[in-house]
Amino acid sequence: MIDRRKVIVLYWGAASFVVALLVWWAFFFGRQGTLLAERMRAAGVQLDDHQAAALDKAVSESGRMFLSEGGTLCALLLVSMWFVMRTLTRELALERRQKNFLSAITHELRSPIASARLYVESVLLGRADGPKRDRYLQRAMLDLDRLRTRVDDLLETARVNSSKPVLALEPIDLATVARDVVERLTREHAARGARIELATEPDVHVRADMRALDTVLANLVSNAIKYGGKDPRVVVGTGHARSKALLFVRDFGPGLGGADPKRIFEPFVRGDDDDVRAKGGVGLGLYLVRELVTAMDGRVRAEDGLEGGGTRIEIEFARAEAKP
Amino acid sequence: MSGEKLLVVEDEVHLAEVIADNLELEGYSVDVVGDGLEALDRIRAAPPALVLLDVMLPGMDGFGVCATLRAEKVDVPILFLTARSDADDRIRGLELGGDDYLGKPFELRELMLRVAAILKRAQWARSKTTFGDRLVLGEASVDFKTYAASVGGKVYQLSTKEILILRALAEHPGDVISRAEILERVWGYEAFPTERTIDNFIVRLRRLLEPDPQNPRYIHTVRGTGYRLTP
Repeated sequence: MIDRRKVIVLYWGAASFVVALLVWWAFFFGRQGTLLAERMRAAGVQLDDHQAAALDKAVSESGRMFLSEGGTLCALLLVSMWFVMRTLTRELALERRQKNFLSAITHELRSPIASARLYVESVLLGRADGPKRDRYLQRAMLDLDRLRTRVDDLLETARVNSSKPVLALEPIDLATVARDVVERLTREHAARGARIELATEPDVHVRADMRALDTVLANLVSNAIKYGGKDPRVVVGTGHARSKALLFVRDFGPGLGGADPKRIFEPFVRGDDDDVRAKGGVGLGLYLVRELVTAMDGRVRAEDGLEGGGTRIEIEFARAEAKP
Repeated sequence: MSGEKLLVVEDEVHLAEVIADNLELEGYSVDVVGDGLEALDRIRAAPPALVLLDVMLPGMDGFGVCATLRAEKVDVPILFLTARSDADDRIRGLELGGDDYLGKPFELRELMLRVAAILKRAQWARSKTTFGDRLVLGEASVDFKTYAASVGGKVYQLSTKEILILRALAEHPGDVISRAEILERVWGYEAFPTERTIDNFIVRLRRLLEPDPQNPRYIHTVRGTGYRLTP
């Protein structure tokens, strides 16, 4: 495959040459009248006033024609250059993101396999007895759970990507979903010292798919815990704004570290700072959130640089009537 | 070899624990850190006998840690342990000065073998030479303690690899030492460099130590086999 960077450089080279040529032609035709008059004078041709005026007129008319046609050509060329460059740059960015994704997914899948394997191998080789043996097997189980979660995320993303998600929309009270997810994740993340608080308003009803909403919220809360700093604190809330129903997840960690709040929902995008990379993850969680929310006719956005630090992810749905 | 101090640099808590436990069972004394910058500080303060270094780390990645140490002339042996095990990463790690590279997931026994092999090589490099600390080749003399070569009143600094290759040859003067044996001694049993790499090192050594590098008097090539040193 030809290196795209080389293509970009070649394209820029060729396009710059054409633009420079057009500019030179414009300059050349602009001076055409003066040059012609000088040559005629040098050849001893004398023009009377009438002839000189006619010559000036003819030269300036053709000059205007060349300038307007050349200018249009130049403008078209510049616009096409901009389009081509934009496409190539996007393609390069996508390629870079996919490479990052492959590297991240390799790390994410191989690390739990590696540790589970070593724990089990240690037990099989008789290198861990009694309580140590039990601890090793429990750790291996946790590694396998971690692996399962990551594989599930990947499969869910592939499913969402390959076709429009099949959803069963029904009237749901957001506070109920929030409470269920918070209870479950509080148990799962107890060992990490995570504190998950509920700040729900009652009667915030929407039409959504229960399973998809659960996946969305669980992803957001897990993300908030992961990037929430030491002893992470996360607030899950619901509320109303104008005619909309709101569901939000707020953490008090270091925030997005300069990442664009709009871009974090794109696939394979992860923050650039070391801390984010070190936390693992493949950059699909928030993409999955956006796809599912969009499929439920909702909108999701991230807010950074909040007072008290951290990031707030807010989902907006149309309000619905409560379940009869 | 037991009791040697090893440093495991790994941010995956489970992996760090099971590696450290198993190394301790072998009799090594093991420290664990989960951050690249902290690892650098630890190694600078007290270089361990071997560093088992992950690549994807917070603070500074493993490649950065290795490159920084080598730039500071810290010669601690490094075994990369990483999930990024495609050929490019492998080559990069070894080019930056890593001693060996093990892709995750790996077998416990293989890890133990590799650790022992690197430590054995490092021990050989540190041990007293069988021919004293100085090798004299005509006008040139090489000091195996300071890695300095004096040639016609000028002093040149040799690299660790150059010193080790010279040592492998000088310990058996007059004998043919095969390229494979040099690779095993200097690089390790699953060596990354090709035999051609050794030829390049030999060319550099000849340029430095031989009066006429085109017609060597001391470091001879034995066609198809290896090299022979005749002091």
